[in-house]
Amino acid sequence: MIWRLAVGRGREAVVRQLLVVLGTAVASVLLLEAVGVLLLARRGLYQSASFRSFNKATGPAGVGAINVSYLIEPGLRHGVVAGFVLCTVPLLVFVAVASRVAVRQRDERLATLRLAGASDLQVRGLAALDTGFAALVGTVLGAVAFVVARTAVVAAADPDGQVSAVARGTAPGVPLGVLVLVALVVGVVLVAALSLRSVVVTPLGIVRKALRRAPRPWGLLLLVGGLLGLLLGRLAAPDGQSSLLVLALALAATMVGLVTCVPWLTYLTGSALVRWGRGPATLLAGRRLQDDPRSQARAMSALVLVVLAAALAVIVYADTFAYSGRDAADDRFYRQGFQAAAVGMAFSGLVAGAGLLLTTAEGLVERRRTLARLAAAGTDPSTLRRAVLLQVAWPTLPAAVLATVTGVLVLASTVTDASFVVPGLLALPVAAVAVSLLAGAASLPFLRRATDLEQLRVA
Amino acid sequence: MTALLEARRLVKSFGATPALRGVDLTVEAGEVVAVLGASGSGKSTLLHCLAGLTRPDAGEVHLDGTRLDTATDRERTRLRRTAIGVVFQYGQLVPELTAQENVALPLLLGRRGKQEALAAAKTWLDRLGVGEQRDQRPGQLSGGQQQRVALARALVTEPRLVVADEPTGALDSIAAEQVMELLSGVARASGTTVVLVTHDLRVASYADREVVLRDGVVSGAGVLA
Repeated sequence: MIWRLAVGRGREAVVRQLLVVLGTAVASVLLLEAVGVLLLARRGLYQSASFRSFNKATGPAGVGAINVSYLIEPGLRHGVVAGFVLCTVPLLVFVAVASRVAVRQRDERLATLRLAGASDLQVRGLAALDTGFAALVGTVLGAVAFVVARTAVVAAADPDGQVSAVARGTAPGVPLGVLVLVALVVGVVLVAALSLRSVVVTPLGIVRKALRRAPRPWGLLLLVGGLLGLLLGRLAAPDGQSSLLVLALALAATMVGLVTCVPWLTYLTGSALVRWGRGPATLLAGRRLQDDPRSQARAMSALVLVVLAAALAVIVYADTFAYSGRDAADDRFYRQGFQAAAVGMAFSGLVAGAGLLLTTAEGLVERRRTLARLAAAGTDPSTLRRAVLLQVAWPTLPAAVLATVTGVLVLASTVTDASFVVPGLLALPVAAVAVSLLAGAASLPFLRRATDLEQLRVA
Repeated sequence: MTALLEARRLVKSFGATPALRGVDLTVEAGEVVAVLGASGSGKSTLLHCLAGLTRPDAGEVHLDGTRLDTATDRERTRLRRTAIGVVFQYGQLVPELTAQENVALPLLLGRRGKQEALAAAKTWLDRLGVGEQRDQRPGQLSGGQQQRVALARALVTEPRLVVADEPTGALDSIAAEQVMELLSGVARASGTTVVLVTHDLRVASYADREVVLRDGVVSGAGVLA
């Protein structure tokens, strides 16, 4: 019965659960891989003969898609770990967004529980159970997939024992693996609980706390602070041996600052649409962005981080290939690395787009009564479609531009080949807007359903 | 008087459940008509057919010489934007827009200039007694104030017909009386035709005439004193 109260029935509840399961399962695999690679240095396994035989100049193309040399060199190894973690961030945003799919029905169900005497803490516990269970199932499935894949790799034909050595060397071990998975479940539940902050379930229904106050640009301070930290870190160690911890902290501050700037930018974008836009579509989109910039920004944050990572990759790529005296094997080695990074970013972009799609679709479903009545009052479907696309794509542009500029500032001192870097960087905001437009376009069937006048009786 | 709105032998079913079973209704220009009936009698379905929101399975709807039941979606949308004002019980205002912007919306949809649309909206809000609240969002308004804003939005394009589905259903009796006085008063002053659906006899008393629906057919009609 508790389960039925927490999760409820119906297609939407099943979809919510499946999306959370899927997101946490993939995130589990990526995090376990990241931890495994981090453990390599501690175990010293990469110094073993079988590991070393995967020499970048003479060795095979890699274990699957991974060239072991990336794991041997400390700088590259940390890059691999960062890649796994960066791929996990959009997934966690996706899970946070997915955990809010169709929760209105759940919140209303919880309100009836409050009416029956349940405390606020109890109903929040039930809401956590809803997301927590799905996250637990997802992590278990992810762990099983991780172990099965590892076992298959170790059991595969491996005459030199090299592949097995890599697989064993990057296995995180049971205690640490369990710790990572538990932390993931707790993190997902916390994120879901944080997203419930604006909802108060009262015995008389759902009250959404009106966060009318416009977002402030405090994130900008953190962003500037992070960038200054990176600069000072380099200046303090002119030999290039800056403290890894200082640089990591400064980079983290930069990323957090960038993400916390997005609600403010979204609000500004909405204000600009209302002030200078013409026609009802810009008014509807602009006011919606002004009214709830945080939801839109939350969904965009993953995309913004992907743009930042892509900007860094473009600059590093240009820097790497600026040297001309490298042999063919080295070239192949680096190209493979960038190809793998590109695949990771494309994956992350896809996940970020899926998160945007979910947020947009959920917003349309939640507002279907208003939309149906707008259509009934003679609003053209094309006007509403334009409003949705504007709302999704328009705030992406300044956020993506800021992410690109941030990337440039992070690695400003290393830019050597502007002829490649500039077009590459200019393409990033365009690509981000394209992803947003695709996500918005994919949500339009939900708009069509919401404005179907035959559904007016039930809207 | 000439008929502005005419429905002939309207039939509409939802799956196996019949909602309208051959309804005839004629509404003269400038008339205020109340459609009465219990829940499930088919009155909202009739209203939706009259406003071009729903196509009947059979029968005809004529609005000022234009046949609504066979009109394209685009044409019906245009008519609802220009010739028909629609008022629902609740939930029709866009929560993110101010009261003034909500009222200006139909004019903006009709490609009127922003300043002109906002000025017209202010005039209607003042006329309906909610001019002071023009910068507030729907969530900051009382139920009665929200319905006045909804009325202003329905009337701002100066439509020939206003259809209202339980326009006072979510209001207390005092607010309901105020809304009905405004609706009937403005309609009579401007010659706008009104068809409203209600199950409340006090609301129906503001109409010139009542039509009673029962199980999808007109079971009675009369002129109100």
